[in-house]
Amino acid sequence: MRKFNLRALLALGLILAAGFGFWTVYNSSGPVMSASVSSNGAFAITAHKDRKLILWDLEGHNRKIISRNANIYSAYFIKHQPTFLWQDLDNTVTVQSVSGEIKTAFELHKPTYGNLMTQDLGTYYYSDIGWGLYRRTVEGSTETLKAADGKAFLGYHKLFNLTMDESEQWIVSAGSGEPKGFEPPYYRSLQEVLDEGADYQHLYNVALWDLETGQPTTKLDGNSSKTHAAISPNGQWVVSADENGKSFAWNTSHPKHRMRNAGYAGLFIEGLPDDLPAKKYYDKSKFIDPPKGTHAFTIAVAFIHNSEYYLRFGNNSHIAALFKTGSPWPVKYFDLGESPELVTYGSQYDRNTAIATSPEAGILAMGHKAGGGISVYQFDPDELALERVWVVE
Amino acid sequence: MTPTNNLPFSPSTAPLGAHGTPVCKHETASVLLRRVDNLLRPRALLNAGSIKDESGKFVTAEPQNGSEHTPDNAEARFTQLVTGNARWHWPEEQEGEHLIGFDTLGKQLRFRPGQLLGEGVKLTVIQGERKATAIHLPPPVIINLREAAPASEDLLTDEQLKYFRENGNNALIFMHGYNVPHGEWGRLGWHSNKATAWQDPQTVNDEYLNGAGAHNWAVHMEYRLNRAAGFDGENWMPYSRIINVSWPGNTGSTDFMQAELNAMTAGRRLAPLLLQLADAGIAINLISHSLGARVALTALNIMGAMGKRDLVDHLFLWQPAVADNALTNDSNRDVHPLGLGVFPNAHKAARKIVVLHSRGDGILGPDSSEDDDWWWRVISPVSWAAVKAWDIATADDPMDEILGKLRGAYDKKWWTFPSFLDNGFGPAIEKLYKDYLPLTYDVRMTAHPQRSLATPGVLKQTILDNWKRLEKDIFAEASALWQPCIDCLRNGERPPDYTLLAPLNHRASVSPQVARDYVLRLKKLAVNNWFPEKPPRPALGYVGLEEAMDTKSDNFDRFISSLIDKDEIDQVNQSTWLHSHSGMRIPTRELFAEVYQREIMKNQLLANSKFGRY
Repeated sequence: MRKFNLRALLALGLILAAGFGFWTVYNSSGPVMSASVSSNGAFAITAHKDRKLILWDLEGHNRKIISRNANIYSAYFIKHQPTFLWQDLDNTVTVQSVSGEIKTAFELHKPTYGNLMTQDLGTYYYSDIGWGLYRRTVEGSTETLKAADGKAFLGYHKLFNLTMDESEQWIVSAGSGEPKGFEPPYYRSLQEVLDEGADYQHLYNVALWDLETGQPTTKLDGNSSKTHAAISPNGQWVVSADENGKSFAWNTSHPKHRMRNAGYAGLFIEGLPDDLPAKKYYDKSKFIDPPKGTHAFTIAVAFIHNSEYYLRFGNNSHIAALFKTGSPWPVKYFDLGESPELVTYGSQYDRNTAIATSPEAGILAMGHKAGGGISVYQFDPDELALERVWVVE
Repeated sequence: MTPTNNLPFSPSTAPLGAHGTPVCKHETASVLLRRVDNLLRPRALLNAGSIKDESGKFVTAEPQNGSEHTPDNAEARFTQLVTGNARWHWPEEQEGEHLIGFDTLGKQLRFRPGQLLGEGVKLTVIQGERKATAIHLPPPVIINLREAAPASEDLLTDEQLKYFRENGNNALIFMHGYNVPHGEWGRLGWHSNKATAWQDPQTVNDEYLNGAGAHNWAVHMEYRLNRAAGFDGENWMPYSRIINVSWPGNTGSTDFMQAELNAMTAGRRLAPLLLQLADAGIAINLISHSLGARVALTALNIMGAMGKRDLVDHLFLWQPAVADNALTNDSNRDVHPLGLGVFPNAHKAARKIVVLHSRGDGILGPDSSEDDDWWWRVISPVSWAAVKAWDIATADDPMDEILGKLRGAYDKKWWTFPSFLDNGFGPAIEKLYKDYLPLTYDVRMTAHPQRSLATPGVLKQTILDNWKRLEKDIFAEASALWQPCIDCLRNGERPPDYTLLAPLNHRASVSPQVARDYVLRLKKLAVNNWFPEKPPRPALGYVGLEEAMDTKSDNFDRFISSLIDKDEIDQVNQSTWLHSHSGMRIPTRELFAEVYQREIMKNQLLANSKFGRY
């Protein structure tokens, strides 16, 4: 009898352990591929490599699996709305509130590789595997702003990054910088890019799009290799940085005027003659020495406090540099924490959308290099501090 | 008369003789054959082959006099041909000038090299004289820097120089990597003719068709670059020849130091070729693979030291097997014990240097996928050996596989273990200074005084005497060659090679002060029994410039950082596309599109310089 009870107990234990294991696996998630934070900083939505879509309550420190069938690059919070959108693997885009109410849903004819939506939930912008840029109106018609170029995403292993300003007048796109030529004007003009491929098929580098006309107004040159860029919420600034460590800023009122940002060796002075000692090329007058582990090769930039401050994330680094718009100098460096390793490790340009901010609320949410967790940070503009407030491993 | 184009049918243009008249009654006619290259320049037609006419008779052409490429010598006349259908058969293309086109009035035929070699080209012999033009590829260009040769043989011939001038006024020079023998050309299909242009090895092995060693690299690289520039693979009219440098890097799979010395000697010999092209006003672009980077960087370092700024448009360093700080201008940052790790003046001679690197290169660095393999080998040695044998037998690049299993052969290049291999510094240095040995004290040489030639005291004295003699001869060589080297390069001539100072052959000249520094370094290395104090810097082809750009690292190099900021260096991380050290020879579709087409051609060569006539 006693023996029988022991066996039954053992079997029950095994069943419970297996059940717990199954439950754990069922609820765990793969690494974050795309993320977006609500404007008020209360929520984040993340799409994961295992196709889970998770809504995070950043204040209540809870999470909820919304779908197990989500496009990994489709998570997006609509600005100033308690509403996010995502696409399922049948290409249906769903716009729903955090409480679960479906606002609208429509079908696309292709999977998205990054998307945005206007605050009135009317116009939907998205990219595809070929770094195309499209606009879908509320009536359901689709317009090609930039034509796709083969499967550029697979070629570069990088997303065609898109950001939109608050007034929804501008979109900034960034794929890969154009190497500088030997002779002035050094870079191809917008017209030359258009001549090379209809609908700006080859417009890879940072570009400012006027959403009223649906045309790019300026090609923002200077970066090379894989490039990330962002537009400030007020639409006044575009900031960029790239895989070769170059970073620039433009005021959208004077987009022809390019401002170079300091790297971690100082501010490079352009236009000097050749063969000067290397240190002569760098201005360090207002330079703050970076901590060990700060890498110039950049994986992403993101505004963290309105249109005033933005962060620059180095590849293979857990240090982020804080910059103020209008100034080329780093203001401060933040240690984002070595453990767990962040998505910034491993040259994961195909996951740079796993870094998301709410500039209004000063919230930064980031995926991790491995595992489905996130790290959440709160920026304090008065103290210029960035505190890690929640880590889910 | 009714215009021809208003007829409801197409009148036959074939001569009457082809339609029923007995062959014996056919009229005789002639064919005037002209030979041109794909730039449509007249080429000498010394042996025009034969035409088999309607009657089955083979007719040869009247021989031409001389071998000059003049319009007179570019024509041959076949006479006494029976009118009607015929076939032209051409002789073996001695210089690898493959037939790629055949034009008659109103008809242009285009074909792949060797395509019609067996059956010949169809033509119709008409009354009077038929004019035809045979179009051939220009011959391939290989500069052989393996054996000693007069300086003139390291240069292009006048004819070759003219070709590059007329073919878009640019030349691309390719330097292969480590452990590539000279090899030979492949064969044109099932014919015995040598093939100097790429053929699709769908049913025959690649080496048979596309050649071996440096010739195989030449065929593949030339073809891929043309394809990337816009060549469609069918019409060979725009096809451009490149200059292939064959250098003696095949020193065995472990004697890397000797290969480095050979690379620098070859680079020294390459410098006058660059001057020859530049003096002719021809734009120059260089592509090197692996240790070929040392050949290219030596040539540019010498040119840079001579003040030849922006001599070449681009230098593409593809998987360069040199230190990641090789481009610094500060010799003090060189960790190489003999001072041959950096090329302080190379950047000056190139308008742009493009570093193509990959973490997927298992030769230049520890490919992460091999970590598992390493453990597996420990726990299962027998099965590992069997599987490795299969891997090597089936690999595209067997040497990659063999070296790759050293988990990054490059960073073991200074290893002296195991001692039975010609690895580390010892074998190359002892070969270089064989007339001065012993230079190191080995107690085993005196272990058995009865059998040994030396007692410890005698041996020590011998070593001291050898060093004294070597030191004196090194200084004498430095003094003797210092000024001649400078004078030669100023005159565009081949500079004399350093022999005892061969590890410094990447310098334009060696001053007495540099020679003294070298002797000190050599002695320090000898005291350590040829084992360096510091490990080598990681390979540029593996890590790229990441460490050199890390401001908080001891390896930070402000000068390299400034070259990137000045856009004089671009780097392309190919880790997602290139997964083996020599993967560019037979690239995947993805690698071809992303690197050949976009990063090399579209972003650089076609945007800022030129490739052939594209």
